[in-house]
Amino acid sequence: MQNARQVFANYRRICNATAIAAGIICYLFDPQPLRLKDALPFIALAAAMELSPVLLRDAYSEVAVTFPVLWAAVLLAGYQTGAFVAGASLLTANLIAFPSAVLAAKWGALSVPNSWSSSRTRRRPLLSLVTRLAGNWTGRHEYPFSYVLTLLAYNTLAYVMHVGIAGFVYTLVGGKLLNKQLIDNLSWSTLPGILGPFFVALIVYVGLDVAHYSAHDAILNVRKETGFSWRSFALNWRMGVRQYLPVTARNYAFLAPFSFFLAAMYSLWGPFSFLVLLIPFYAAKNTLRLTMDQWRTYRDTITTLGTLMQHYHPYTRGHLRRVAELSERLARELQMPPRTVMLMADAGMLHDIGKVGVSEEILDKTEQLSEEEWDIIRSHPVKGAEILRHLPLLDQIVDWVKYHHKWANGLGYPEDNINNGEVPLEAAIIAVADAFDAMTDDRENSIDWRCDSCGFVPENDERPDECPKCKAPKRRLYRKPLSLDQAIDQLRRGSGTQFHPDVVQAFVTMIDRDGVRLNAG
Amino acid sequence: MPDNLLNIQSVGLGIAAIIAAACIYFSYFALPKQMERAYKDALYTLAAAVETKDSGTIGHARRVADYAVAVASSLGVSKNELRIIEYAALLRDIGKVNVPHALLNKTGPLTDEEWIIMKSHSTLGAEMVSTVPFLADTADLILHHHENWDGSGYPEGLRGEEIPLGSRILAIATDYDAMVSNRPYHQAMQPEQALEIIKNDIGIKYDPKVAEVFLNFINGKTQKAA
Repeated sequence: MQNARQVFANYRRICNATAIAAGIICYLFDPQPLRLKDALPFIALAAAMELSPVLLRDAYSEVAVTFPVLWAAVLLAGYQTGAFVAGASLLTANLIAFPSAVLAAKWGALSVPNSWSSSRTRRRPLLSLVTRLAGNWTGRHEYPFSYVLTLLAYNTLAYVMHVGIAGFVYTLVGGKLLNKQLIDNLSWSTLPGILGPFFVALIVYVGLDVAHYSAHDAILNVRKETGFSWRSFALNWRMGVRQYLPVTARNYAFLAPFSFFLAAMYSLWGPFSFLVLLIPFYAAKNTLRLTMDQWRTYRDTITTLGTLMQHYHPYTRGHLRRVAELSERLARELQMPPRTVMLMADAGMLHDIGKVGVSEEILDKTEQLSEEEWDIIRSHPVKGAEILRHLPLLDQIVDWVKYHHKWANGLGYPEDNINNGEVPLEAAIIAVADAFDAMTDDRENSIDWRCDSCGFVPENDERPDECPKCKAPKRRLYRKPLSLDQAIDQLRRGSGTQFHPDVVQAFVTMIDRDGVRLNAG
Repeated sequence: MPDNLLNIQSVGLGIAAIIAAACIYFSYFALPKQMERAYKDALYTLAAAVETKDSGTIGHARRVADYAVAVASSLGVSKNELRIIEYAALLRDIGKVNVPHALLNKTGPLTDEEWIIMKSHSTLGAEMVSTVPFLADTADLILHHHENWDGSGYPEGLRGEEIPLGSRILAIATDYDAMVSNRPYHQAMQPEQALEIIKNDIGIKYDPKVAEVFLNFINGKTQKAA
């Protein structure tokens, strides 16, 4: 049994060696003079792209759009120059990012990974610039220096290898280097001769990227307890491919035309063309950021006020936040679209908002509820949906809220039959997260009696009916929480009847791998 | 078909210019407008949440907001203040989320203790909205929307012009709409009847100037309907 860490180190060593070997073989096969002067503007542009990633609509990831620049270099000057540009630009970008990260840490801006939305950096433009330059180095600069070097070498060489190999394929299948004459004579008859090889190269590039990074992630995901095994590696790798392939293919297909465009402009105007293109690029980038920023503020406003409204029970805040976090992770685990994943967090916060329409006496009642009282409680998902119905930007979550107490087998409430009893998967996710948190909530684990209003805890073991400090009546009797295993057992038992089997399965896998709270360990 | 596909230089420049222009338009004109609408819808939603708890029927806050905006605009307030008044009208009762159901729907008279809890809703509401940056301006109006012209209101007992104009408008609009709609503790009145009651309270509960504009507005509306 091999140590996961060791496997990872070996893997990186193998990759680095392969990249260097591939470089040497390519050079022996097809020696080309490296024209540093021609490569310089591309290196500068690619480094600039690397340092200013574009925020995608899903708000999770910022993506560096270096791809068109590298491929423009490949198309203009050949794959060797292209690979050189890839490596050199990444190194340059990191040479700028690393000191920026150190500086940002010194100025105390590191606690904000998504620095664009922090009011602190907005007021201090220099700090904002530094944190942006630092990019994904924030946090990484604390690693041992040797580790940072290995990581950088691995990243760079992997990058060089992908561009190099795919560019090599471009030459192999008969792709020509673009020049002014070729562009001036561009016609319908010469177009396939250029696009065909490029298309082949693009497929190779996407394949390499996806296969490689999936392997990387699969090794990272090796479970600590059981160690490395090819079986689990293959399983993880396949999962990674399924996850990355559509996104990568889509992104690169979108970006590919730009590399032609860039190459054509460059061959006509030289480096000056980059300046012309950078203005709209940064304008577009800024707009995307602004949109996301606004949208985030909007969602924050709604969830903040929505949560405040549900604050009748002091325990609710923690519960809602945990349900939101679990639902979000679960949606990601089930590989739902990024936008859905993001909205799941809001839905988790707001899923019980209909309870503002249920009287506190009923919610607090510790003895058996009458049938009418049950009916009122059962009306809360519908009331919640009624409240949330008018939000045009969040209209997706209405049904999720409405059916989060609907069982997988059609029981539960409300009683109307949506999609012939098919509960939306998102609602099923909330149901599992909600049930799990309600079962394991350890609010009373260490403390037997605590005032709901002021948080007062009596010193001895008394359990008064009203709080000795603020005189608030005791609102709710808590039962003992279940242990993690017991709760999972309950979920498994309800799988297929109360809970959606796929969701339960994904939940168990997720908890098994990452634990209940992400930050805790 | 021309053999030369396109003049790539002019196409490049054209695309660049179009993208830049589109981005500027979107960031500075379209986006703010879109977000303002979205925010207003969000406030309707929050108002609906309060109403679900308060009276069980949705729509009161929206009507009050319509009245308040109409009155405020004929009093000639600035565009920004109009926006604040509208937002405050939607959120004025948000503090009621902390008032128990039993109290909100009580048909009999409230005890002193219950009144204290009931009255706390304007302070609490002001506190709640002041945590949200774009709503912070409305906190003042929400705090004072139960003040009376003669100083007999709560929470601070302000009188006359000390009360913010927006709050004076909200007070009259809220009362009118409460009178003409069904509540657990009373049946809906006819508009004329409600206006009569409001007239009697001019100078006691309501600002005479605001009341005059409001009466004109409602009269105009009922005439139009008839």
